[in-house]
Amino acid sequence: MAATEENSSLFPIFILTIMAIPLVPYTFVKLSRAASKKTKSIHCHCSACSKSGKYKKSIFSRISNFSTWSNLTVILLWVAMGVLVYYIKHISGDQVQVFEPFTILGLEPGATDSEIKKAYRKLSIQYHPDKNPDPEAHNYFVEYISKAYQALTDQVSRENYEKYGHPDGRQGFQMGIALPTFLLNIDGASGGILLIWIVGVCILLPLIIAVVYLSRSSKYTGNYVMHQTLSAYYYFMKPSLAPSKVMDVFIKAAEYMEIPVRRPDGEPLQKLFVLVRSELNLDMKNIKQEQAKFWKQHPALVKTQLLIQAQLTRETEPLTPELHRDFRRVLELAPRLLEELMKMATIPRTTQGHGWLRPAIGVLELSQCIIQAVPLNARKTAGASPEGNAAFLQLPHFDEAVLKKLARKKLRTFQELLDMSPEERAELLSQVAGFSNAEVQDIEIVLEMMPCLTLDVTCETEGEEGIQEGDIVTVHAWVMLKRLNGLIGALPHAPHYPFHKEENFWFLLADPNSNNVWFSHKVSFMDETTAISAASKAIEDKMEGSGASVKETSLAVREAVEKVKSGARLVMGKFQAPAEGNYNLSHYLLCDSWIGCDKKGSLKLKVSKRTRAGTRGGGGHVGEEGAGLEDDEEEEIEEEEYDEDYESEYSEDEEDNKQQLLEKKKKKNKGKASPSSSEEEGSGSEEE
Amino acid sequence: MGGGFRLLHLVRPFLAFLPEVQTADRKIPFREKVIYTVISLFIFLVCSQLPLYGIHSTTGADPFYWMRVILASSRGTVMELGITPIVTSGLVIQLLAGSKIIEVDNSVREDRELLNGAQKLLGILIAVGEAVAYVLSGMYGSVGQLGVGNAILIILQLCFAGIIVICLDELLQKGYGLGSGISLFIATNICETIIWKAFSPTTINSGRGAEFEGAVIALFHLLITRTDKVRALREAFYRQNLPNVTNLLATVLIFLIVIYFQGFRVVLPVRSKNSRGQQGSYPIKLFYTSNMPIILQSALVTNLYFISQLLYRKYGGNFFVNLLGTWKESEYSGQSVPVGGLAYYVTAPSSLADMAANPFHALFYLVFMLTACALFSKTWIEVSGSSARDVAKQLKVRKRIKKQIFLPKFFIFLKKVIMIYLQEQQMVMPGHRDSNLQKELNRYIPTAAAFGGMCIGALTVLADFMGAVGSGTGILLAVTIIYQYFETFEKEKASEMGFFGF
Repeated sequence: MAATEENSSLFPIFILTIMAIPLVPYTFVKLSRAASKKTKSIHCHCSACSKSGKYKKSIFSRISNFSTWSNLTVILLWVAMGVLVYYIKHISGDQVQVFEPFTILGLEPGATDSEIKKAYRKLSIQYHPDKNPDPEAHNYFVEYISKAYQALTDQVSRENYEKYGHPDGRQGFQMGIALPTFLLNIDGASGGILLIWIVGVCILLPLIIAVVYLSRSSKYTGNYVMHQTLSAYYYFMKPSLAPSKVMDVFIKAAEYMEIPVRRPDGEPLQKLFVLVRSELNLDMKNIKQEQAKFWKQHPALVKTQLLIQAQLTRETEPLTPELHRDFRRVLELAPRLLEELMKMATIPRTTQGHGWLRPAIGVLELSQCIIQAVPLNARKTAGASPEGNAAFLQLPHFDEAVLKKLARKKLRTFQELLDMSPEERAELLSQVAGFSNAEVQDIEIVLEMMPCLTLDVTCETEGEEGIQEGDIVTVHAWVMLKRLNGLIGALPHAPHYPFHKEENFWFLLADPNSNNVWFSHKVSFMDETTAISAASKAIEDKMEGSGASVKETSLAVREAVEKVKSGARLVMGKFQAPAEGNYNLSHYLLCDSWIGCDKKGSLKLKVSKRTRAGTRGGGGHVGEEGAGLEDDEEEEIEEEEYDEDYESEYSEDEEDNKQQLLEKKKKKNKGKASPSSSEEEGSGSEEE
Repeated sequence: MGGGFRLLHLVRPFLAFLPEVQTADRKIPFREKVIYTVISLFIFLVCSQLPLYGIHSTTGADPFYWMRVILASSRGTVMELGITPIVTSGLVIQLLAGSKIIEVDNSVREDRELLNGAQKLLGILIAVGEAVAYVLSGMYGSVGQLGVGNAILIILQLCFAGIIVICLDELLQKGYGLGSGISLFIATNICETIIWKAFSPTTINSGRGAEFEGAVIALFHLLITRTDKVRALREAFYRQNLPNVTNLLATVLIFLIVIYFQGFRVVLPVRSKNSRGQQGSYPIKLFYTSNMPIILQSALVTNLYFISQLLYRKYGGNFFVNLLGTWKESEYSGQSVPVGGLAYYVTAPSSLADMAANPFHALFYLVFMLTACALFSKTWIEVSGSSARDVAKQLKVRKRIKKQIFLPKFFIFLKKVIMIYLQEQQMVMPGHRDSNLQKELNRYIPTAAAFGGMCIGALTVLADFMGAVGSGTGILLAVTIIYQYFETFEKEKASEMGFFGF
């Protein structure tokens, strides 16, 4: 019984410790974060974006709500801890006192015999029954003081006390467990229930959850996109796909096919069809047939296409609540699917391992249009402006009428608007387009948010001069981003896109003449720490590979880190140099959410013929890229000969040498017999 | 050779009955790999807490106490055998294959399958054999006490546990998980001990009031209940019979030191000889052989203990047996500890006080650990094919690397497999004649191996002297394994990004 009583006070201590260990550091982190300044808001502040309501809900209310909730829990936990401490103190008051002779005599542990005697005498005067008539004092003297004195003066018991903590020597010890008693009563009915409960909740439940999760996620790839979608995209992607046709591929995602088509959807969809008909690229001459053909498609395809057109044309009124939910679902999935589609466009297709340029650009244009809710047709050259009105239409308060007015003032391209000074722009906008001051202010805010990008691209064969055919060429691009308002990572202005969307950029190195993408990479400016670690690692690898000293390496790394912090990102990748010749490459930096900030530049790549000097060291391995197996055979022999003289020069004994050669031969045979065993060490290239 | 082939072919009829994990037919995304790893870990943990049904007693000296660390086994539970079957069968098969008793052509698919099957079959046989030996030797009470039914039940439990471990290890190795099952289980077992020693709710009352076993909980307990806070602190930090806070801090310190040392390396720049622009670096780490010397050393010592204990029990009076080791039951745990002979001198001193009392013991232990680790490390590079000559060869031997972009299976129907032929890479060091490569590697690798082994040994000794939780060996094993895991983790993540998220 005594044991359980003791346990009842020990269990709270256990709970207290387990609670305190995460709670205390968490509170400190929380307080220090509160003390430091608030995080900058990185979304667009124009009136259109604020009105769209997504930031209000997602950022403002979430932060305030979340913080109060978590603060509340923290405070509650602290209160619980306080109660526990009080409870423990209260209970441990009437606990068994531990016999500690030194404390009783008022001495430090390890006192000498004379000190003990002195202290004993002093206490005797105070408590001895002869001096003190109080019966309690008598008790105390007999129970504690004389016992303590005896324990400490007797040689054996003192030794025992110092060694085992008890004057009688080693005590048998009792094991217990600091858990509430009901948990320990395994017998009886409650024991069975407890057992079932523990097995069910602690063992079976996690396993079931994991199994369900795994069986469900096997349908998805690493990017939460279905395998089926990827195969459809891969199959339908064609080398020359017009931007308007990209849409037809895009809607074939398995995710969209899963959205049910309900019976009452028919009518609103019909209405929607009438509204967006002009955008559907139907042949006007035999409109009847075309319409019939359109409706004959798979109903899910029709629905998705119409919903996306509804987003592009901003015509969302005819949607019923159910359709609106589907509409939001379609938009929510869009960025993820578009990214996969982009990857499918740039995936190596040709024998040289190049992807396709035209569909890649088309995908990004579609992405921009969906995010900004601008019709695809607005991108086409329309009358006055050579590059379409799309870029203007993404700005708040702009519409066709305003554009017409502006066109009369010879404002043709978006770049011209950007290049103006703020005063000029304000004047133009208020005078010509008739905007109010607040509206002009809104437009300024959006323009300040717009990224301005610069690119610095170099291609080289690392550690060599010039580029020869078959080289592994390293692309080394610094992408620098500037915004007028000084932010680096920011959310784009996208009032018509109802979800949180991050800006992403795609760097493409491509040959526009042959429609080949040589290298592509996604760039994001949101996560600075990852970018820093990636850039410093890339630079470090490069410097170490070229044999630089530690000092040089660390210097270069520091420089790169500074650069990343000031708003640049490093893109590094490798590709194999093609056959000899001059190549006029273009490098693109395309944004997936802003219209009109894409950058394009040209890069001349001169690939020379492979020279003998290029293959350093030994053996004349000239022009052996793409060599078949026979070619390989020849080289094998050369290599062996070569190895032999090197070995005989430097190895100690012939025996060893021969054995090595034998082993080597075996390895080669193995290599030939099983070409599928791919060995990956040592070459991290070509993965991009 | 013919005989060898027949030997391997003997396995063939059993292949159908052996449990097998299907190779992943798609590239498993990173987060799924993590989940698979966590699940197998969870199963392992549950198994190593689940008591065996039908046993009579587990008290008395445990002859395998010293081996439990590297075998990830826990006494009296289903995981009594731990990873012993799988490790032993792996070793045996390696030895057989290495000594050409069974001839295996690794390039033939069927051969590889048969070898795998043989390893599994042997593992299961060993599990059965060990389980029978355990029961018959009376570890759970004599067979008469147990009854035949219970004895068979125990054997069955142990066997199934062995099969489960084999399957889990296979699951992790066949591309569903991260790293290897064996090292994961070892590290988990050790980490479990450390966590338990820190937060255990078990209380022990040895006449001075109940005390918590867990060091951190005891700290709180003492601070709250004792009136004299300074003494309470001192007690929490220095108590002798139970894990204390100093032990815990020492463990953390060792963790940090090892991780710091992991970063020490010499980087050799290498570049491809006939494909230009292929350059990279070959890092030679200080801990070139990682935890191998420690594993070998503890394997040696535990075997010594085992033999010595066995001999001591049978022929306690013999002079030579006593020279090998004399054993005594410890007061606290009822555990046999060596108190004399060679076994005593290769055991870590239990505390600093013990060290001061027997300086010769401490010195001998130190010297033994350092030399053993350095020697094992040097031997290991020769055996495992990571010596300078092997590395030079690896870098030089042409490797026709055929990279397959890992497309999911269905793509193979749609399009022929996309392959990128990288050129053969023959790596040389810039600024050196390539014949110098081996020389250059020779400058670093043996030194790194020997010195690294010594460092590992020294760290183990340090951990032992500071009384880190678990043994020094255990902690070193755990840290190095965790660090390896951390590296694979990073690599997996990077490759996930690089491969377009396939």
